[in-house]
Amino acid sequence: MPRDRDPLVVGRVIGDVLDPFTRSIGLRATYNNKEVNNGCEFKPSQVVNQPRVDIGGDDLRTFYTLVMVDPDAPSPSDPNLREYLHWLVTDIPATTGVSFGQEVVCYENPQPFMGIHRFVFVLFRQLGRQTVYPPGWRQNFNTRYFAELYNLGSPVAAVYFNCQRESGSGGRRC
Amino acid sequence: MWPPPSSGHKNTSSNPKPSSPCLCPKKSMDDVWKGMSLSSPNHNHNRRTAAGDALNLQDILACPSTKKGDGPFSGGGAAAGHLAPTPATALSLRISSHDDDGGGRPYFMSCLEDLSSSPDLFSSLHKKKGSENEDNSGNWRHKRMMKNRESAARSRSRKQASLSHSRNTAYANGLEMEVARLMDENDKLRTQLEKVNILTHFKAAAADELPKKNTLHRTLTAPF
Repeated sequence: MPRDRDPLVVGRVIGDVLDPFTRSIGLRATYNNKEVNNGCEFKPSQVVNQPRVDIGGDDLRTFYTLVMVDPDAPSPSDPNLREYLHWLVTDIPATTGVSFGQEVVCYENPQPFMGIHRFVFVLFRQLGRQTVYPPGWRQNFNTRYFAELYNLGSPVAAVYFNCQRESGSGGRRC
Repeated sequence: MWPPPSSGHKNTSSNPKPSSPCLCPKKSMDDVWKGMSLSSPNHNHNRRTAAGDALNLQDILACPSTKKGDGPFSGGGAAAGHLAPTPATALSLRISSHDDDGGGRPYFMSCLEDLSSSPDLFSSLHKKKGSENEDNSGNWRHKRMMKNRESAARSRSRKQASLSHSRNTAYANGLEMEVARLMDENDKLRTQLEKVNILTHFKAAAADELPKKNTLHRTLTAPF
């Protein structure tokens, strides 16, 4: 699809979190049978537990890393904690799911307080099985630097959803 | 709110910090100062005032933060004594400048008397204005406006993202339907082509047999 219609660009995920990349591997995240589609809205109550994540690819000997970040922490108008790391799983074999990988940073459920936050899943291909050390803290994580540090290269897939506090009234249905 | 807020009209040029709530026209502040004979007589009408003048004004306006009544007013004239409550002072200056040039001084004095009667209101009012003044009240508004714009831009991008998502799905669905339709048509055409090929093949191969196929026979259906 044309660059300017790509939801990742329109939603500014490419820009705020990632550089432009080419999708090459399937990535599907599902919260209780509701699939995560770019720009769709979830309530915090719907994303309390970690989603089921299935990835594509074809060779079980290729491993992938999944990162989940919130670039709008604590508030989209003043994201001084960008990006807040919610989940980090490595060594996921291709064609399988997150449950087959190594959870380096455990899933923390989104609890946006102010504004409408984007929550981004990013998938990277690893060069091989590797040891990834968890960062000292979740806030001010930098996906770009992380990828560079572990030689992950460009992302192979990404998807994001919107989430605001449970009683929030903004946003739009997907 | 008092004084009534103007639409951000930047008044007295000699005031280095724009005081937005003031309604004052062009020159009044200068004249007030002149009348008070606090500063040197060469007041300008633009910001390029003598450093001393600007400094005086700046000090005076900055006074509320220190909450001291002295300083720039120590060398002042008769008005100086009344300027001890600085919050009131800064406000009163603005108020007085609302008046005409000639009567600047007397109005100023009378204003002071009014002000001193209700110090609480003005100090609280002034606290707000003072901080705004220090930040550049125009700046605060500007920041607010920028933040609103950013929020609106985010909202628009969310809208566009959700639209493009539905458009992409619809588009993709339409494409898939198109593809299915085209594949069916392709199959039909291929079958037709095959039929035509067979026919021509037979025609070429066995010219005799064909007439038999194509020949119309008259049959007798009626007894007569």
